[in-house]
Amino acid sequence: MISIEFIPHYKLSGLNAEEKVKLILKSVKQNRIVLIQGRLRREEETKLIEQTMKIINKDFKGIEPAIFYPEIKKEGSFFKYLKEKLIDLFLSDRQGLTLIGPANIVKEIRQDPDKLQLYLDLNLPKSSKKKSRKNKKN
Amino acid sequence: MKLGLYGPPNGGKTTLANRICLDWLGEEMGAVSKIPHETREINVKEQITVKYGDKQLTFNLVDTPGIATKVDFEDFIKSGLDEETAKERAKEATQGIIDAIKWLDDMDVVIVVLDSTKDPMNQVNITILGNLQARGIPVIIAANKIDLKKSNVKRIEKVFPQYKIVGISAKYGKNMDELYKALFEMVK
Repeated sequence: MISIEFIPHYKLSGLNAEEKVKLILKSVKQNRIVLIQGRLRREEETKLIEQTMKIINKDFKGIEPAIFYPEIKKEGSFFKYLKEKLIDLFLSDRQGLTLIGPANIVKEIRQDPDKLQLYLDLNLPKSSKKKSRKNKKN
Repeated sequence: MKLGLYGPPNGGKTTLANRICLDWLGEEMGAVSKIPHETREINVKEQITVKYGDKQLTFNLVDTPGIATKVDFEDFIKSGLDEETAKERAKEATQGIIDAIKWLDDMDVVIVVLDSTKDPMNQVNITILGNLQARGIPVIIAANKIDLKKSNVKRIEKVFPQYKIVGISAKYGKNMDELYKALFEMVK
């Protein structure tokens, strides 16, 4: 079973970079994929990598992150562009999505401007594989 | 002036550092290997003077360990290392990544070295470039390994259109003049 934990923006908004990273890594270390409303700031991204490196061991191999930035397109009217820029300015890091998974489960995240593709190593235990085969026969 | 070489592991940072040193000092800087995380410490070569036309530029070249979000010692075993060496390499690699990030603030100009045979759209590349931009550090992207058939510089240009991108082969010294020219334009 793969567990995905959603963290809404308000849960992180009052925290400093260190506290945010600590909270995220606590969940990821428990083999959960964390989905965050909004995006991390640039300095938080590097802090996340630094802290991850400090806790890597034979069981925890690191993280696979992807930050999905909303793209402000210059197409359309000037007012539409201006509106989008203002929304981005005021909402700042609330816009976008951040996905962080443990590297032993999430092998790769492919980013495309419009989609995220997760390549997972499900590594199901033998017993559950047998079960699913039995179910197929029935 | 400090010129930093940054990027993910195995992009060719040390090969480029060696090329620059060979071109202007006549000697190499560090060891290269196909096994990731060969460079696990910051290496600095001081006082390199590069000439382009009638101009010259002197800098300290800083070769950094490849930045990654995961380090698995079992990958090193698969590359042929014994378990103990692989574990030691993983430990040193994680410290190298921490050091590389800490040195970001000290850089005056950075060449981000990407392997042009690989998909550039990944979070490590985005994080490195985004952090340099946030710090106001001028950046050139060296799209390395253009000597290989799978090289695709246009793919990097499409993903990072806002940056100056120069396709090079650090191994064979191809297009290095273009890179030096871009460097002069960046620091003028």
